[in-house]
Amino acid sequence: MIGESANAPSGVVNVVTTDNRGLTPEELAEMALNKIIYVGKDLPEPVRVQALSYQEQIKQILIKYLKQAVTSDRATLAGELERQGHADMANIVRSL
Amino acid sequence: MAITQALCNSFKQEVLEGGHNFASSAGDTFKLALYESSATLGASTTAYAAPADAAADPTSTYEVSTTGTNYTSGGQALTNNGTSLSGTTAFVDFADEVFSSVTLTAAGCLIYNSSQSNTAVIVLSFGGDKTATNGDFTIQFPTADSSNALIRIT
Repeated sequence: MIGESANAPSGVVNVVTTDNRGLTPEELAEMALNKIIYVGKDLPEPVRVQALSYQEQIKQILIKYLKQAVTSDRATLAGELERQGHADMANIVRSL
Repeated sequence: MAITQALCNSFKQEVLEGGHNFASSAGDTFKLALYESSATLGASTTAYAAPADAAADPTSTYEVSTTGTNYTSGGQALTNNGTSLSGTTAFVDFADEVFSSVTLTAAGCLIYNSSQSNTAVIVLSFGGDKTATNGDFTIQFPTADSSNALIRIT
């Protein structure tokens, strides 16, 4: 039998929207975490506790590197803006 | 006119004929297109059809317009996480998809196979209008396990 989550009431997919901003590293880390490790609520408690602890460790690593990715990308952007003679815009980017 | 969440009937037959490859490496490309609430999408949808004029507002198919939205007609290609087998259930998962820096309202989407003549896979309803204003519009897919994954064969 082919089953699909679509059989469930609408809302199976979750839609997250933002206004006047992009997703934060914390929000993205949470999304990525759900793809990397899923801790089932029916796991034996000792296993579940350990899995949740591991999940939290991964989350903090993801946040760190995602923040660095944003910082590095802005550095690249600011550098290019400087090179193109737009020091004022470069400073705006650096201040974000 | 309505967006009715469903696995497309044509997809079910095509799967039996080897018409879709969900492998994460060298598999088909699946895209996700966004639609306004007036769109007609459901189990009988067989393929993605481009609107007559993607810049019209609304478009002829009620796919989100490209005017003032930063949305690209046809949507975006999904990142395929491939297939998995858990017990007696095989399932498919995609990475959550983000439409960045957009200003748009959508009530549902169509996932289709752009490697196979844009054949329809699944229609998803958002449960109502969802709006992003100069921000990100993110579709989070369900947990990739044998009970919740987007598409499962049991």
